[in-house]
Amino acid sequence: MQEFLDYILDHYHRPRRKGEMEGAEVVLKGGNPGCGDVVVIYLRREGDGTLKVSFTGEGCTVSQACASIVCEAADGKTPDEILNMDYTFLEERVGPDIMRGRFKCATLALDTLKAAVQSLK
Amino acid sequence: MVDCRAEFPALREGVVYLDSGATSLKPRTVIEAMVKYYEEFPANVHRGGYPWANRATEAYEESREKVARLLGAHPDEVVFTKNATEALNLAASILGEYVKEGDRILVSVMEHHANFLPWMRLARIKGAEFVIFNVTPDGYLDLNDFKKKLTHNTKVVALTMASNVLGTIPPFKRVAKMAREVGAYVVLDGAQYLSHHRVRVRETGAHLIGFSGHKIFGPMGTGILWGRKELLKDGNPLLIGGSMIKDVGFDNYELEETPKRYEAGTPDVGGVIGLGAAIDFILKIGYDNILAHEGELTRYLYESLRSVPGVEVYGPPPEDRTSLVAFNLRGLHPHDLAWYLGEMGIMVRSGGHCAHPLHKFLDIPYHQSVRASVSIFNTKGDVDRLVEGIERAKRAFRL
Ligand SMILES: Cc1ncc(COP(=O)(O)O)c(C=O)c1O
Repeated sequence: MQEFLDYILDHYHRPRRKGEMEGAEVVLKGGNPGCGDVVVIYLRREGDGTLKVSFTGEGCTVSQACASIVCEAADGKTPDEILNMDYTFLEERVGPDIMRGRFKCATLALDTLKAAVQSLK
Repeated sequence: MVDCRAEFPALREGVVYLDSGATSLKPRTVIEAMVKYYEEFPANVHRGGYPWANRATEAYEESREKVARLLGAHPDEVVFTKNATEALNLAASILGEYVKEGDRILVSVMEHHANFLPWMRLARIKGAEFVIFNVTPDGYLDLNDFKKKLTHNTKVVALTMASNVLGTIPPFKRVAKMAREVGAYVVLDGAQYLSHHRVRVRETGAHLIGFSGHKIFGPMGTGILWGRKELLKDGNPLLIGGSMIKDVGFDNYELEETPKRYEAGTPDVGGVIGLGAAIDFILKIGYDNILAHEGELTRYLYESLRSVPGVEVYGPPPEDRTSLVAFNLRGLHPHDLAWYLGEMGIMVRSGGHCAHPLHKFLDIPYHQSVRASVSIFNTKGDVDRLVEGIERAKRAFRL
């Protein structure tokens, strides 16, 4: 598990694609302050049909690291490619223990991202 | 110290359960009392005149008498609910008759949502003022703030008998006395208190008190509202329907007396019978022994946590608190810490503990915390495991 934790900590401490996006076409907030985890996804269409993706947010290590992992992977993909990303994508990266024990935190960013992409269609 | 671990079937080897503040484990005698009901006389209560029904009714009402004796109350003043939340909502329903536009409802900032939201909603519905009185930065009730806000139009004062986050035991008798002097009704939340302290309801000065049955070793689905008979006599029930009316016509109905008028429909008979067994269990161990055991353990828990570098503990010192400690580890979100401890078999709770206003008021990081609570079956070894677990979490998260 430590290997997965270290991977997560790397994304948590050095988040990729974190920050508000200028000219975003979609800004979608996921999670709620009651549970303590919030992820906001920003999207913009590029000329070649791919998407620019970023996020902001606050909350636990797992939710924020997974936002970074998901946004790094999604950035530059087409909407369909992003909609095809599923929980196996996450499980391969964060491992089964975190997927099982922290399901809500781990899946928050991916679910929010996919909802944001849907709203573009 | 007391050793009663063997009486809790869930306490298998290696289990470290530090979440009795959320719900207590159930002793074997409680489980057996429920099984006995379901196996031997599983009929409905207050209906039918056959032997099972009579036995079920007797056992159900015997639990009410046990609760009444425990609390120093009359059985007619004991209403069974499904939890403390329902009890406190019922309290708001009963007092709703007396609150008018322009009145004030005064509630402490350290309330659990169960003793916060029913009053906020009642104030909204009635056009009353909803006013919050504070705690001091070190987690004590701010009596000066309370006095300042206790105006003559105050109709209700709602206060916990023990905070489920800070552990603070506020001077609820003093508060009740002052509140009565301006003619306010006093509602106490005894959910965290009754598992550790004997409560003589009449000595508290309160009009209504809500309790959780499942936090005093009783089954899930049990709670208690105690209220003064004058108030319960013609209060407004939350539910109406079966088992609580004297008569129903085509366009009218007449409600039963208390407590029946508040227990519409089929109650959790097995649960209430189990609750009776839970009270027997508490009295067999004895509140003095419970307090001595938990007092020592709470001090050990508090001091052990405070000695861990990076841990910040909230609330007053152990002598002024009930058997729980909320804390945070600097640099790690409480979800992450509680989860990692859970992976090691150490069960603690993280989150806002249904006390979001308090976490905001104290400006606790992330507005959340980790909470460890101890009970009669916990040991110093459990606390040591917790501290060891925090140290391991620090290493795992590279703190
Ligand atoms: C202080 C306090 N009040 C009320 C409640 C609500 O109790 P219940 O879950 O029985 O509704 C709790 C516990 O959850 C509590 O700790």
